[in-house]
Amino acid sequence: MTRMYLMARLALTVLGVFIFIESMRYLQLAWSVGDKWGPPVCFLGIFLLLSALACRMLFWSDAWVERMMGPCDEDMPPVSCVRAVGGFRVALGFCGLLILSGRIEILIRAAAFIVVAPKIIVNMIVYKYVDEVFYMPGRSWLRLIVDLAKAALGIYLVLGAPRFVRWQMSKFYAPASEDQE
Amino acid sequence: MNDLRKLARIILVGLGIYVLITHAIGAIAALPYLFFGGSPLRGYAVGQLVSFALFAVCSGLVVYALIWKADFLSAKITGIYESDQAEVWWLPFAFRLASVCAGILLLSWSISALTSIIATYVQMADPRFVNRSMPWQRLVGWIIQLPLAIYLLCGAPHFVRWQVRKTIEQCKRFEEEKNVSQEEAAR
Repeated sequence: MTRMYLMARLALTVLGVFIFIESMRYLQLAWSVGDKWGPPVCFLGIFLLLSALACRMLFWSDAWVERMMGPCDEDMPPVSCVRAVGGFRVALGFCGLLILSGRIEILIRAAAFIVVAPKIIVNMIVYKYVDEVFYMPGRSWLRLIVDLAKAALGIYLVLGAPRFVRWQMSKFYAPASEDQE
Repeated sequence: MNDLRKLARIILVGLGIYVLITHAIGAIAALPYLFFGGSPLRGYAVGQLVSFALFAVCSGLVVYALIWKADFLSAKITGIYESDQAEVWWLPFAFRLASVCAGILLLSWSISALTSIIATYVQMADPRFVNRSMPWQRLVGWIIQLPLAIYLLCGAPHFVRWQVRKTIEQCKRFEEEKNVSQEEAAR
């Protein structure tokens, strides 16, 4: 993988992450637009389309990268392991910082819930009392789950997305290839 | 090294101008509400104008610093070149640049959040306004967001150091795995 290929792949990865985050907004919208079936189906379709696009950019972007960059130049030296890992971690860490910093409210709510959770659980088990927060409508649950998923994704990306980076590296640095700068 | 400093300067100024324009558009769009809208909408407009004023001051400072103190700031972002670690010397720069860019965007969002909170208080002062609740999470979120933005703008030294260490560890681990698999393939 040459330097330009790496940059193209990083650009597609960053774009894929943000498209995936954007797609989740349509999943929330699909459950909050009312009783008619038309708009939810439309929003669900947009969600599926954007998710597929994001997955293609994140996991199967080889064909697009080759189309963008043209055939691989054999004279160009392959990029080193440090540059590739560093590039992925910088790009994903940047995405994670942006995603996570927009979800501080949901993290505070999650922390507050963890603090009061023992009391709620004791009430449920001992007094058979279910807190009224659990009776919120389905769309509120969905919004909560999607927000938590976004926050979890943000945390994973800020941590450097180690598994994703390892998978990318094992994909492009097969045992036979040599790493040279 | 000079190229990196130029790159840092271009990215930061570009991002600053982008955020400034975004807030300016918000403020201009709010002007009609300020003069012709009802009371709740006036709260929104006041919020937008405060947002623009705050951000104009911040952006003015950033642009001044980047133009007149460009060498100092870009040198701080680029860091010190360490010749004994030639392979990884660019890593702190890249992480620091990413942190500062995230900090600029986060500062912009936190200023928007602040103005939204101010606008809510302006609306709540109107006796005709029915909804008088201010979610405490918004306020606490903003209180956390602003120092985080400032920390990122300062280059997030702990975060950068941790990321660089983890990146080098991951590279070493990957190299070891690759060597093992090469040995196995050779057998």
